[in-house]
Amino acid sequence: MKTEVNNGKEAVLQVPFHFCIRSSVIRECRRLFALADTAGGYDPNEHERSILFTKDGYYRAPPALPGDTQKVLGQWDLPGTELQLSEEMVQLATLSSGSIQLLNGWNYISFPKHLNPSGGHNQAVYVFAGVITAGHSIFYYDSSTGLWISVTPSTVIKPLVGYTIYSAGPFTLNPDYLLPNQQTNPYTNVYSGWNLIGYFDPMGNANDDYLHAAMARDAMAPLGSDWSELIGWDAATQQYETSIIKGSDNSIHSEYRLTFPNKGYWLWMNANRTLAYSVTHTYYCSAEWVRDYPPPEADLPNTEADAEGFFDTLKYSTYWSANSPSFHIGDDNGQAKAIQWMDPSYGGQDQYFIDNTNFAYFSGHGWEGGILFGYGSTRQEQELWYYETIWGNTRVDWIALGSCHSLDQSTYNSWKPSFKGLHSIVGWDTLGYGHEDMGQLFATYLKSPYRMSIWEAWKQAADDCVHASGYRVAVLAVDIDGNPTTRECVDDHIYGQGKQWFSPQGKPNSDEFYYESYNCVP
Amino acid sequence: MNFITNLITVYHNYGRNKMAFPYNKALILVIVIVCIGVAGITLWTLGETIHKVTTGVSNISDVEIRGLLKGTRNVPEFVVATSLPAAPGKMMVYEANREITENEFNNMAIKLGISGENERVGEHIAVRSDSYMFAADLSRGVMTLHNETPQPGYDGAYLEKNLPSDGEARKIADTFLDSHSIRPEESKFYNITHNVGFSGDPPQKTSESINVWYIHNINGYRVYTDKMYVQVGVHGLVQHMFVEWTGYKPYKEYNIITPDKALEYLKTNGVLIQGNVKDPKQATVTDVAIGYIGETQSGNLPYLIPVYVFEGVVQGTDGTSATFYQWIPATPELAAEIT
Repeated sequence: MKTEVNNGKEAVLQVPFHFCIRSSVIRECRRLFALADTAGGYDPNEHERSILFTKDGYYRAPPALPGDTQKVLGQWDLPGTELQLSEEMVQLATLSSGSIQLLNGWNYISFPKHLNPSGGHNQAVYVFAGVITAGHSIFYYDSSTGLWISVTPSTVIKPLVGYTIYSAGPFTLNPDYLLPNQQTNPYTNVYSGWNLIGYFDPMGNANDDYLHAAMARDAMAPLGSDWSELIGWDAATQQYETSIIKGSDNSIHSEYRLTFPNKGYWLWMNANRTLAYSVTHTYYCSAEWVRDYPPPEADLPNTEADAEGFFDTLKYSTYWSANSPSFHIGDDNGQAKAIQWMDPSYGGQDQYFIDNTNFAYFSGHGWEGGILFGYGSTRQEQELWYYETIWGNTRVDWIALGSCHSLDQSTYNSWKPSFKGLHSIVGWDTLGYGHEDMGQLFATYLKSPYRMSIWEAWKQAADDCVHASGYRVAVLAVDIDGNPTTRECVDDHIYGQGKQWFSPQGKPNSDEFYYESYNCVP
Repeated sequence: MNFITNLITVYHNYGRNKMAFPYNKALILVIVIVCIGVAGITLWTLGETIHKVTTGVSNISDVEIRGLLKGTRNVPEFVVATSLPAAPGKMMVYEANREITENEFNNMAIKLGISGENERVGEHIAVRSDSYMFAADLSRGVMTLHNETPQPGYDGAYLEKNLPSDGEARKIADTFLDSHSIRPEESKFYNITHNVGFSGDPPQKTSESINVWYIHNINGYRVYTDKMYVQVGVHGLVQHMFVEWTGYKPYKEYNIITPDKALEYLKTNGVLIQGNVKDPKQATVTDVAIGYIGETQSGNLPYLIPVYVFEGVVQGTDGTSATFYQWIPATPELAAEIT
């Protein structure tokens, strides 16, 4: 049965504005903060206004639910949800546990993997069994026609599709997913205008049990520049979340904000496209080392073995590759340069080097303000200062700095603005030990059979190498929700090891970090 | 006259004296024998160099004495603010044995109560049960027990209340080692260190754990490159154990240099300064000890070799100061050959 409500192209919806506390077994929290000038009215920039409003100046809301009425806002008026950041941040989900929490009222959900067709376990009658919908239909949205479509008992439930379901009271769905090695690449067509899509992990791999959040920028990467807006639904508050806008870099609408498994999102497309993902990925690593330094700095004879040991060990790890854009260079012929770690906004080229790989390793001199290279005719060229770096805005997830004092406990705060998608930095709080096996051991502990978290592997490698008192290693990692009881990225494992990692938002607040300094046992 | 000079003499005599012709065959035979002898000696000598080390300290002045740590800096003036240890004259050098077999690994896992299927990648092996992983590098004898459950953060008051005291942590670690019968022989409690994590801005302490650290002593001498620690966390839970413990057997006894001699070498080799001292002015030696090492920054050594360990404080011309340390080989000739 098809229920035509509207075409969804230019609808305007008045959303309620209230908050409540969600009770759920899923670890979750909500980012909620207003800009300082909210009271005076938040003013989107020109780009954002072009997305948020129609040409006539009316807020462009997603299609209303069947039976809902929409209230037209005044010209250039925005709903409250667009005036302060409000988003649900679900942070822990596994495929094997498979559960999806429904809250009282309407829920916009999706299924992050293909369901098991055996016994009809991929059909609505099985998937939604037991949900009390209080007489409401379950819907998905046909964006090719602009129609809501009611789910029938035999409807096959698919990934990449967003579903709306009403639940009279909380309820837990327990979908039966296909085994990881049976999953295939999902795809769906999306059309110009509003589409209700399901989330799919853009970074995961076939052997991952965990479902990972991802920045909208990464989740929507398959659509190139043809998407412009993404809006989630907060079931706890029964209202839309603050929209995410392609190309936006401010705190509210930033495309560096997270999107989450099991959620459904409204997607505004500027063109017809196929949204497709791969169930498996290849990841890239890089290593740079500097052995010979201009005076007065001492040469560091072990850096080559240190960095190359990391690269050679990690590149043979499952799903990791030594092919381009992976690279490993040292100071032979002056190849390792500060600009390769520097953001283009400061004259650097990190988008072609360090920020173009998933895990980057440096072995060389460092100090409380950065790391030092040998290349360059002036000291200024040789130095890389923290304030010249923005990492993760292209690709890089993790960085290891095998250099003295780079994560000194008195100055680590300086690195926080460098995080823009980066999960964590590990390094030395004190003098580095300069052991030639450090990189190789570090990478070894990341892989099978150890499969340690990045921080645990770094500590273990240091303990393995250090044999004198007074050495400390450190980590600076994003604490995604700012909740100190959960530490997120400090527990990251590398991709492909069947272990958990946490994708951070691209612009963490200064209180959304965790720092630890570890006394190496000599 | 050695074999080589003997050979030259015979050859020269043959060239100058035609009368030697009747002795041709005998001469060729001698040359062949001598060549075989020289080749044999050469191979034997090379073999000794590769697989063994020279015995005793014959003349240490003809080897380059150097500190065993890289990245050192020279300091113009040294002050000794401690008494130098009594030199034993001779010390045993030990052959190191780091390898452990898979059977030994399995036995250790059983003692730890971890049963499961071994996962082996080359020389690396791990077994998991419940939330714990027990793993080892069989070739290097490095073993790890690790609680794989991510630990939550806590507020400061909770940590204060639920983290064991240092004394309690030591008892927990001791009991853990003894109850599982995994305490190595010759281990000795040495120290306790804390690891603290911070969240938020301004930073608040949200995690803390305690490392109870044991050292390896051989006949009263510490092996500076061996260690074991048990990490105790909130509620007294053992989170981690790390063991790097070298098996050994006596190799040969060597003469060792005196502490005064070692101090001379320290002055010429420089020290490793653990901080930012731009222009070192004076180094004050606060501790000198004799012990063993089985590893340098360039990897493992085939022997446990005696070293003098110097520690102290360096002061700079600008008033800055930092700790320093250095290892000086107590059997320099041996160290020069194997490091």
